[in-house]
Amino acid sequence: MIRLVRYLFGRLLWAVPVLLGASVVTFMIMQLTPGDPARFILGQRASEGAVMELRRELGLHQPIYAQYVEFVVDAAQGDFGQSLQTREDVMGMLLQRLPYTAQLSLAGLLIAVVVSFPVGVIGAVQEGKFADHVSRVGALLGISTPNFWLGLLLILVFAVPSEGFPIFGMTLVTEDPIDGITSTLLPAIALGTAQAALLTRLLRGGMLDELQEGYVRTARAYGIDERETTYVYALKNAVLPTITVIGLQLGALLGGAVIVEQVFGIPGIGRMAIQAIFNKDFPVIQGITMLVAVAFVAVNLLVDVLCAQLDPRIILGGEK
Amino acid sequence: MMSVLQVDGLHTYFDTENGIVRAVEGVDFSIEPGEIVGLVGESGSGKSVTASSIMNLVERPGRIAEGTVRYDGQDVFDLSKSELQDLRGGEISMVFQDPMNAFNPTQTVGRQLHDVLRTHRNGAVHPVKRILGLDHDEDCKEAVVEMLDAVGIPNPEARYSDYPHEFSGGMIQRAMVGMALLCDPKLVLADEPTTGLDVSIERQILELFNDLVEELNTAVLWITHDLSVVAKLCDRVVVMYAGKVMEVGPTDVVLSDPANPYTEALLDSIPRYDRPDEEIRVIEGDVPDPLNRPDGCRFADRCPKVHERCHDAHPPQYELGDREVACYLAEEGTK
Amino acid sequence: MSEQERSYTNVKWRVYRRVRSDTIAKIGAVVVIISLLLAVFSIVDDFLLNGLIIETLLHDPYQLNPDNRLAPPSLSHPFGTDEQGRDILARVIYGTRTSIVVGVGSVLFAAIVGVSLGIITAYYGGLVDDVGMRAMDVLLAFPAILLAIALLASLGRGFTSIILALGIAYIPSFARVTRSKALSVKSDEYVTAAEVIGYPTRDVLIDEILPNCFTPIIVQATFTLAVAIIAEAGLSFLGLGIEPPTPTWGIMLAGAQQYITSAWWYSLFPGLAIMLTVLGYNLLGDSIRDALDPQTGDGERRL
Repeated sequence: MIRLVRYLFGRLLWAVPVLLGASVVTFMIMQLTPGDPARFILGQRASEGAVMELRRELGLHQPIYAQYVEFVVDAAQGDFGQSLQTREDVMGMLLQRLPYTAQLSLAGLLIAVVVSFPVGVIGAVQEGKFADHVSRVGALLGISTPNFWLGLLLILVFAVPSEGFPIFGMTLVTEDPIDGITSTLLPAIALGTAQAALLTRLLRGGMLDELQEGYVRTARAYGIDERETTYVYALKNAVLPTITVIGLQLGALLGGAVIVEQVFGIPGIGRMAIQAIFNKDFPVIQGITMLVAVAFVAVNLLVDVLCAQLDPRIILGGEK
Repeated sequence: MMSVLQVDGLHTYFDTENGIVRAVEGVDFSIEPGEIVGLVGESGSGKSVTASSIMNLVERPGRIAEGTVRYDGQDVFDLSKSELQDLRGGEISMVFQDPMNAFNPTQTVGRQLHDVLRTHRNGAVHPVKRILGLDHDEDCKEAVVEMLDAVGIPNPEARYSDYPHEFSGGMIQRAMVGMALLCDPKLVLADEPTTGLDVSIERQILELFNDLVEELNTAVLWITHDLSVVAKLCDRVVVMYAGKVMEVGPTDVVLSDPANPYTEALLDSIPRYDRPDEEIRVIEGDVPDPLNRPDGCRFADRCPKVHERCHDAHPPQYELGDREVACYLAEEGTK
Repeated sequence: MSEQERSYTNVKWRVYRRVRSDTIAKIGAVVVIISLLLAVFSIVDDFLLNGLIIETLLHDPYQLNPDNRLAPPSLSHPFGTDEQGRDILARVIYGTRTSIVVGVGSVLFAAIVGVSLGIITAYYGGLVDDVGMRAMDVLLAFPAILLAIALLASLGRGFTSIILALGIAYIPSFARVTRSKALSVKSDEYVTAAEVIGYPTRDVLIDEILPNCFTPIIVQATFTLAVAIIAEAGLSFLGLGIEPPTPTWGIMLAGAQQYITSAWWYSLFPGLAIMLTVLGYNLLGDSIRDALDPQTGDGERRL
């Protein structure tokens, strides 16, 4: 228990500089803009007075380090300022949109896991046979298909002919469970397919590696049932490393959600980000970027701790 | 008395892209109850494949091409799948080289021994039942703890729930020995079980084996490349070279007065502490390419006593007193 | 021939043999070669010949034709036409160059920066390693596509911006792969020997360590290229990537989205082009990895 606490503490200590670095990157997004950001935001025709006004509002008149310190201090309190477009509080906007993106990403993850586990394991166990070939080809197609195109195809095939699946918008499951599920299904498939394919490949490879291990040979030499060896011994060892990958995939899913939200007209943070970029609404872009980074780092931290708990090979606090 | 193990004309081949590798090419020997037999040879001589073949454990691309292995008079290759599962671990068990690798890193050592014993006592269980731990058998656990104690693992009750990486090299091999003896097998195949262990731990394991085997009257096939271990432990010795048996006989006779030039060369190539001034003679040449072995005696190209006949065909086994020797010199009795 | 030269040619030979002998690898290689040829063709045809060839064979990919909007596939327009009456096949062919140029460009950028970082951090270790790898952790704290989007927000649209944005996002993967390989190479005898002889550090890094890290780098590059092609299409689809009227598969799909119910061909063919190209690179990547990975070199197990 003490080791776990120490480990957790160590991981938190790792997260602090990473998040500080992430804040620098986020802060730089506006600074990297060529020329005067205020002029860039307002356009060439804006009056000099308006530009000066905006510069003051954005704090651009201050020296750059002071701007950064202010940005970090505010961000740490969840304050990313106001949207330049709507004057709304950025954090408030984020919290309002986040549930949609979360629902979409988690549904995508669920699909990825539910599909990949059986397919990957069956592929490995049936190596070289028909089922294996099908799963391999399927996985290859899966990683090669762009999620937004898959979304379009799904709309074309399922949503257009039937009324059951809406092609635009999304209902939160907390508001209406049935509509929530039907409106999430297609976008979640579009989003989750590539991740399912990746996980399938990973699990198949992992299982094949495990089935070559010495302990599998030992179990055979001791007459232990093959099913027990495969589905208890080897499966556990193949699954444990994929947990880390699933954590990392959540990042890819959040990124993918930005595009899929656009296809299905889902009012999540992805759509908000795209609008913000077209409006040059830097506070909103920074807020989203930072929020995703924090969420991503937090999830990976959790996953690391979970893995360390489940996998006796990982010695807490030490090297993996 | 019937032999525990009778191996006759065993051929095990591996089909590779480059051709057929004849790993084992006609091996005959037997093991009597309670006997410790050493199987000696350089790496690549086919000794480990022989051991896997005895348990019918050879996997693709390998296959048993010819021959019989009789355990208690019953041909192992004729057994059904379930009979084979009963045999493995129950009647014949195996101790592996590199025990750390032979255990599953994410299951406790005790649990892995428990699963072996439970399988042979109560049979296999559904994977889900096993994952949920519903297969746990308190009697099995007790027997495992007793066994861990018997193989000299201190504090066995607590060590039962330790993972393999929490054991030292010597302790994990003791646990492996415990696993091998768990179901009272009549034969243990020990595949270089002390390779990689340091000398003092090697001696402990050898003593442990000696004691337990005597106590339980278990026969042992001890596979090694180390003749000094054979000298210490084995009643009889089988010398293998390039998939063939070169010489079989009582350890003291074979090691003190080798009848096959290969055995002689092997003995000359190890340093002797009792004769420090004697030159160590390395065997000239290389082990023949397993894909392209000579038609004649496998050792002919490296043999100091080679003569014309040796290149025609590999010699048959000639009886010479209480041993068998595959060398034409043994037939002529001139040696 | 020196030791590592031999191992390098050996690597090339293994990949070559593999690609020659394995049908799946052959398909991948053919797709990749076709995509490269089409990219070169469309650049030459567009900028040097003013579209002469494609106009003769098919249609001008830029030519608006309001009378022939959203025409379904026919002999004259095998892939149909878009909402402006332009030939979709001609535009799909011209679109190849965007994907390839952005893909190759961003992977080259990421590889040059990432590999240098990986080798330097591995070689020097200590503080250099800590700082470098922590910087990679920072970049990895953002999902790649989101980082690219954020960077595009300030860089604006266009080829250079998108190559830079994706390139930066892919640096960490190259840095990590190179570093872990370089760490093992570093302790090899010939590197120690070169150091003892007194070779300048730069020579040790470039002549001794780098060539021995090629294997994982090549594999990483092939797979990253596949990912980059999808990412470019996605960003262009969102309207953040390449600016119209340059034909790109992503922009075509963005246009097709509006007409999803009325013109299936419009959303089908550009997407198929992306999928096939990416599939080709993934197939090739799998084969190269299998050929180079001694553990799985015997079969296609890990595909």
